[in-house]
Amino acid sequence: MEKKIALYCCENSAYKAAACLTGPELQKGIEIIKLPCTGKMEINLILKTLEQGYAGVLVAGCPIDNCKYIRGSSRAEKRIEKTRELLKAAGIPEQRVRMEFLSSVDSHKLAGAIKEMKQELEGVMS
Amino acid sequence: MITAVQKPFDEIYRTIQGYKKLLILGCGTCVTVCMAGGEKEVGVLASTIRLANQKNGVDMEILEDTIERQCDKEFFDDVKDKIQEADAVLSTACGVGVQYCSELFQGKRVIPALNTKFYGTNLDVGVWSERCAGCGDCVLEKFGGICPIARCSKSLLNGPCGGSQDGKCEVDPEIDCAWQLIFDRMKELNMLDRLEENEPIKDWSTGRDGGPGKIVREDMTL
Amino acid sequence: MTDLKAESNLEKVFAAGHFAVTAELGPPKSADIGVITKKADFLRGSVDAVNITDNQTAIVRMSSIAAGKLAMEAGLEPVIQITCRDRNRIAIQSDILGAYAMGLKNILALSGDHQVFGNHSTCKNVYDMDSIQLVQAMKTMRDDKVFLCGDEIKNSKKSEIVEPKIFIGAAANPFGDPFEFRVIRLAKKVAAGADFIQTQCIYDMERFEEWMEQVRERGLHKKVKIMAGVTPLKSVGMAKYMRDSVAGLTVPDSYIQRLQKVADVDKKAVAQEGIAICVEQIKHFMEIEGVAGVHIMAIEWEHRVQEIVEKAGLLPRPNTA
Repeated sequence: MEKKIALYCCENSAYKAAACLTGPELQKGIEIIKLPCTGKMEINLILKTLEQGYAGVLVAGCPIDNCKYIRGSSRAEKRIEKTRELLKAAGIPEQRVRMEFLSSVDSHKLAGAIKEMKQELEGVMS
Repeated sequence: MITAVQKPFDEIYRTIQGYKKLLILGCGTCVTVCMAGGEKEVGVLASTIRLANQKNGVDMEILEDTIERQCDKEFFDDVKDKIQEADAVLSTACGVGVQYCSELFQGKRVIPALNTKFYGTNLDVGVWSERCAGCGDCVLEKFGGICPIARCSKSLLNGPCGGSQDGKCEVDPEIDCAWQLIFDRMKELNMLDRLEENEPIKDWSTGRDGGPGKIVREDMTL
Repeated sequence: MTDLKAESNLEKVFAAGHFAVTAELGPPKSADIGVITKKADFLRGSVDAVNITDNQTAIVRMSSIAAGKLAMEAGLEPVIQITCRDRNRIAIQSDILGAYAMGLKNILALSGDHQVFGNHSTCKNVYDMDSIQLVQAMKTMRDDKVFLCGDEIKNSKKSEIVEPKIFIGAAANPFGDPFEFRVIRLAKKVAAGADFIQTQCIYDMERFEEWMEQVRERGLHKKVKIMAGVTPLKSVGMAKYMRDSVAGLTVPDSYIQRLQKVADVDKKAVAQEGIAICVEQIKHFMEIEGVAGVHIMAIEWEHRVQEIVEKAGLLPRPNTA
């Protein structure tokens, strides 16, 4: 896949988990962007990322009840949901945007999410 | 403020088809506050349309801009050229702004992106509630500052109907019964006896029922 | 005896000191006259007057005035109902003139159920006036002999004044919220000019007695004829539905238990028990000071009204001719 998935990581959790992603298979087609918190994600930013040609946007951050900034993850969750609704209304596959909740030691979970998303997008973006 | 919500995307998308150059024009006042048509919302709408156009192979140039308000002539000066150049303007202002933009730029197609709703207050983050019906003859003094015309589903002026239950309106359990609110407030204010007076039938001609309104301040006109 | 205002049968029954009885008739959801004549057959002779509902629950039915006229031809005295939901003051005053001209003398003012409940929920809401202002309007037309705008009710400058001499009714809900306001609202309707009041259907007799005490404290029972509303319970299901789904209505557990007990033995006998309860209630109302009559709302059960009135000892109805 030529196109990449933009992986927006919260620096307190997902970014650390992403550092442990080894293997060319996982690293290929991923671009990691560090955020102070997933609460920083705005709908605008996600859409602009897609407009620039990224295949998908994966937002990864702390679990809802364990966000360092208390409400960041839950705000992000709502925004990602709203973005998916907008994409659906515009006839664009909503699988292109998703959110994962994990801690800094959950590299395995992150790897799984990336793999799943790549598979879904292959079917969807062909 | 005036509140509004964005129209469903497919409705907006359908109405902008066929235009090669579209200006999405936002408004920085009421619709920014109610998060429906400000700069941020213009950005989201523009991106979504571009993504949809990309998918559908539609060739359309989309410009974005936001002015302070679309109900005052002077604010259009900054975007005059953009409007002239565009084939059509998708305005994210309230119904007033959409119409005024249309009036000021004769012959220019101006399309609304919002459904204007009501005069209301911002109760909490993301929550707005209707408060005023613009009847043109304010009766708030008589009802402890709570408007029965705007907040009672039947605009009753002499107390609740039989459908008031647990302080909620029969029409929708989310709606507070205005008359419960009025009763409670007048009790607090020690003014319950005022509610025993019969309020006579209202003159509705001071509002929309008398025809579209106009205000002229002779002392202010040049 | 005070001077009669409208000389309707209902007014005369009250004036003569009898305990009045009224029932309800819902007009057809079509132009079928047969529906009215059939219901009239059941009710004739058992009641003093019959309410003809006005697009109840905002579902389109034949108009109250038209159905009322047909009911009158079938031998009933109608109580026309006018809600504020569908008509502005022009239409309402016009309807009042028309109703009176056709011989319909009792008119009851109601706010009207909001259109959201009916089959045309996207319509425009009128509510040019509320029910109290409507009572006031009827009084103004009858006693001041002028329209709301102040014009005299006469066809031309040289004509006679021919005002509608209506017997004015209004509704009261002893159980709605806010409870403390309910008697004030009744007082406002009396002040506006109501001649008689019909209440929403009652099951909680205790609470009704409390309300009547407040009514008597203000002397309202002397200024207006109060009719207690009642609806016979057909089944346990109906009793539970009334308790759980109708705003402001409570049905005492004792009634539900009674019905359940009978249902456990013989389901078919429940309706009869419901009628027995209704008859007890009516007899109880007759004992309460200030209650001048009963309003029996046996919707789609009109054929049982005669039995109820008879068992309550209220037959034959007085002849006021």
